[in-house]
Amino acid sequence: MEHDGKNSTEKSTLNRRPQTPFSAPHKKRFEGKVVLITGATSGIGRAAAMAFAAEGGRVAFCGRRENLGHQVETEIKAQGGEATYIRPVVRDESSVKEFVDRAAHRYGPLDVAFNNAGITLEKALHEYSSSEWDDILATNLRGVFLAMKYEIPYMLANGGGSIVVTSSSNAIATTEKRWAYTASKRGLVGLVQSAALDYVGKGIRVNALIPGTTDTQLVRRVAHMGLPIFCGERRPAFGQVHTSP
Amino acid sequence: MKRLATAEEIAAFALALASDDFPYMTGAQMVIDGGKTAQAG
Repeated sequence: MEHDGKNSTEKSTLNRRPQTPFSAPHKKRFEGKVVLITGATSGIGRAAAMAFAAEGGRVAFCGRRENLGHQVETEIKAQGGEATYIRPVVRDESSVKEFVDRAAHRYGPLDVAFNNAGITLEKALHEYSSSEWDDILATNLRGVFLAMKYEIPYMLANGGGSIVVTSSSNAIATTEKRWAYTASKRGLVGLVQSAALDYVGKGIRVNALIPGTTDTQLVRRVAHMGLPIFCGERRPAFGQVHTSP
Repeated sequence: MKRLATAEEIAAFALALASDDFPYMTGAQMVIDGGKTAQAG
């Protein structure tokens, strides 16, 4: 920290929104590397897909909204990057396996996986049906398990890899009505910790990304509607499951 | 911080974690939340 009265300047710099940080990457950390991303049709996943591709990564990604998936792929290619949109159902085991297999078939052995897809639904605990609970956990927690189950053999065969899982600051401190989302995101921290230990010495690193609330189209829309803010991308009706994969 | 994160800011951090820049980092919980979870009340 500076002691010459620069604090106010620093503060205003911190609070300023960054300008297109990926337009001119200063290095290409992912040149020739194969990168898998789940939930990349918008939000954090989309931004990551653009950034990985801008640094030379060959990006295979999924997401439920096909029109957006093709848009992201087109956008990346227009910037000279390499990407393939593959539409899976994240919670379905055979389609997760197919996604990973198709990505590896298209681009080769996997180097990086960004398991990012997640959904939420906000209402009081006693108002949840058991199938709504199952929905949240199936995508957020089981979906990441499934993705890793099929990604890791490719990484082991390839001599290593790096896995990043999107958790949430709700895993640390949360608010009302997010209990299912919070449980799933906190569960992911445990998953990451133990799985990381499984592959120590085998060249695979597993880390949890814990972002605070992020400004996506959906979050802005929901905030405008006066609903609680959540991480996701679809515009839901009241009581519907909010989805992001 | 008096604003939300941008998707690009969070993605930039995801890339750093995914990169080979930090080979000793594994099993970590990496928070990027503008101070949200540091704040009481």
